[in-house]
Amino acid sequence: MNTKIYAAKKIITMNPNQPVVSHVAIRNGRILGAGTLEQLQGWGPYELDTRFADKVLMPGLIEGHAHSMEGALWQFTYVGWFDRMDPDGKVWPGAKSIDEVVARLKEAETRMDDPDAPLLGWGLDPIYMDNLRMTRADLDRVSSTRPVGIMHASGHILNVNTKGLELAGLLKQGNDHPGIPLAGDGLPTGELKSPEIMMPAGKHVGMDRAFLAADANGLRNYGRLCVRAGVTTSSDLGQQLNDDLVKLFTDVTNAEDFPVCLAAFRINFGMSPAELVDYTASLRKLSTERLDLGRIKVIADGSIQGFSARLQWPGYYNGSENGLWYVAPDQLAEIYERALAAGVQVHTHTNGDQATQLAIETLEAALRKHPDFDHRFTLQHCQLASAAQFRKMGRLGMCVNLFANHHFYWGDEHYALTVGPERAERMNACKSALEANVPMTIHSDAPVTPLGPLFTAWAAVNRLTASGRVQGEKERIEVAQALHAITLGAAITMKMDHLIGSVEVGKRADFAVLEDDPTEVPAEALKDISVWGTVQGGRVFAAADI
Amino acid sequence: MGNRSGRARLCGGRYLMKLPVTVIGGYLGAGKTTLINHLLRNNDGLRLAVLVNEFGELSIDSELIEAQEDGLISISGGCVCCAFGSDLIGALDDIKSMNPPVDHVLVEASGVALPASIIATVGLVDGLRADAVIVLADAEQIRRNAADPYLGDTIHRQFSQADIILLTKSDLAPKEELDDLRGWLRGKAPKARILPVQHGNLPISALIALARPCPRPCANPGPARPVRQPAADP
Ligand SMILES: [Zn+2]
Repeated sequence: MNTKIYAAKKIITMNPNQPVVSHVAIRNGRILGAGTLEQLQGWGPYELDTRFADKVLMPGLIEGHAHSMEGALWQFTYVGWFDRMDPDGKVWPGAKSIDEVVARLKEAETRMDDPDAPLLGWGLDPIYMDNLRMTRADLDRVSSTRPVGIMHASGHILNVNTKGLELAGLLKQGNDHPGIPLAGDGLPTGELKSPEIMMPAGKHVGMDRAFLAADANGLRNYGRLCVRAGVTTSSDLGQQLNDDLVKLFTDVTNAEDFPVCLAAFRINFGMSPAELVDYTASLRKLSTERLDLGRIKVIADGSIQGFSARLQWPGYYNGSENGLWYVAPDQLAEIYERALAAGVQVHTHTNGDQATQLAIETLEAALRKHPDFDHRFTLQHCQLASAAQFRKMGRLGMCVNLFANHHFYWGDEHYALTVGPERAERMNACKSALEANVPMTIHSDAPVTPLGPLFTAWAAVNRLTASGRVQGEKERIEVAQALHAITLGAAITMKMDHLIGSVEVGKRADFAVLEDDPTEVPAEALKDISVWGTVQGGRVFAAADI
Repeated sequence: MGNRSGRARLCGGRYLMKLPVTVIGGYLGAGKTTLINHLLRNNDGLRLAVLVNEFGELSIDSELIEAQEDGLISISGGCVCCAFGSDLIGALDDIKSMNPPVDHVLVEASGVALPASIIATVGLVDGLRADAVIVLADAEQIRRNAADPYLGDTIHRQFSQADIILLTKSDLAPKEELDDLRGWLRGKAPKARILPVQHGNLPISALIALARPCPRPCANPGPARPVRQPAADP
């Protein structure tokens, strides 16, 4: 019965009964108590640890919507616009022109031994380069002999070089497909724009299993990124879990030094609703301290910037045709009904407000058949929800996870092009959600945007777009509300708030260890707070050593 | 180069031709599974390959299944079935190189998929050609689905991409209603052939629009089959 008491400059608890304390006692990986040293001494013999005496502790941050693929991507070359930190802590400067992108890949190319091996970059976003389109000729400057590819930040476009096109069988006249733009010579420009083409072509430019699903190295790298971001629990929102993949996750997360608890959701692809619910329910008993299983992720529609999200009238601002359903409405209903009957929680990706409305109405009908007073079905992204939709969600007992980062990265695009000013201002409406009593968290959707809940909190508090405009002033939330969202708020949406999310007796000893106090710095500086590391289940992880 | 371009396939020992692909679309409950099982039972000696988005969505009658391994279901009569998930091109490539070769590919589109996007993908694979888009419509349900605020535009888009619309469960609708329905459908899809069917009962020759069936399994060189190429084929 070893008891350790940490002294800190300040401990922000998220427990309203004692919002700030100076000490926290830990026993067997759990919080024995929080309070003053005198109060904690009553638990008996202890060891006092003062290593955090000049640090600020918070409940371990919780990322409610990310993908462990963020870890796997660093096995490939980052060529995005924004500076981004890799699992080693190295910050890769953003590439600000096609030339810089080419130079970055060229440099990676010189380090490769096998002349035929593919070279894959990721994170390109032409929106920030005046929508300049990259061509195969650009990538031929990297190499004309090995296949070279770049996956865009959106995940919806893949650029390949001439060799890549050739290997994919696309270097020919007469390609007649909306996803394959052609150049003046009748040959593809090298941009491939739809999943059914990207996948087969991607195989030739290095989109392997690690890139597409999960591998042990990628999961371990994801864990290291979590430590750097102060994250102690993260969802892995949508894996095509099967027995093999569950074993991989179990083996990797069981390692003594794996620093985070992953909540891996079963995505709705590849199984009928009945199989999906039965299989996911069967996984729950396989959960461990660091692998939480037994939830479903359903994808209802596409993305707003890809014009594949389902919008209510009047649709897209630029007149684009309405988007696509990724699940048939009747299948969604069957999944909801079966999941409610089996007590399996469902998180549903809805981007457009019509997809959100469908999810709300479908759940309401399913609840009439299978009443559940604590289902906490959660809408993920839910970017365009109206105040009326939030009110309805609140009454139905739903939760929401809003894409606060999206507002920063693509808010200007939404304002000008996709949904127009009025709806862009209400996108990711954190304030409306809270006012309607919808339990709320906010997310990065890493790797779509970088993992970093403090950045996400900053985005929700300030609502700045990449061009520096405040978009949707009235939907800004307080710092305290944002910090709640990235701790207890996220825990509530995953039905884990009895385990994590606050510094309170009985909970898991999970802390984010910060160099500054997020409640004291100016709200504009929230994103700049440096993270020393984490404590997860009582184990200490310093970012500097991870 | 005409039909000799790419990886053309020898069938019947005499003619080079591309492997035809038919897309079967339509919303849930329209009878796609019934139709596919019917075609597998009554395949007229054609070796069919059925590609489904995911196995969970299609149940092949168990008495038709001979073996199942590595994601491929072998069906009596030399037919096969596999799921393509997110890699339709990869699955089509696999089907194309099967030995003995298949005669016709049926792609079952998911209930909310747009058949034209599948056809566009088929067009990218050498040695394949799009044969037809068949969209199924449940005579009892279709007007309700087409008026549904969530589904309506998807249903209309599916119709507009169809070469053939099969009006399924048409035995359950009174005759006047059926006539009315056909008129309504003709307005939605003026170019499509509209065929009422019951229990998926339709000869395969009525569905495989552009290619004529090979009377015997193509593993044995059979009589010549006419080569039909769409005029636009380069
Ligand atoms: Zn996501």
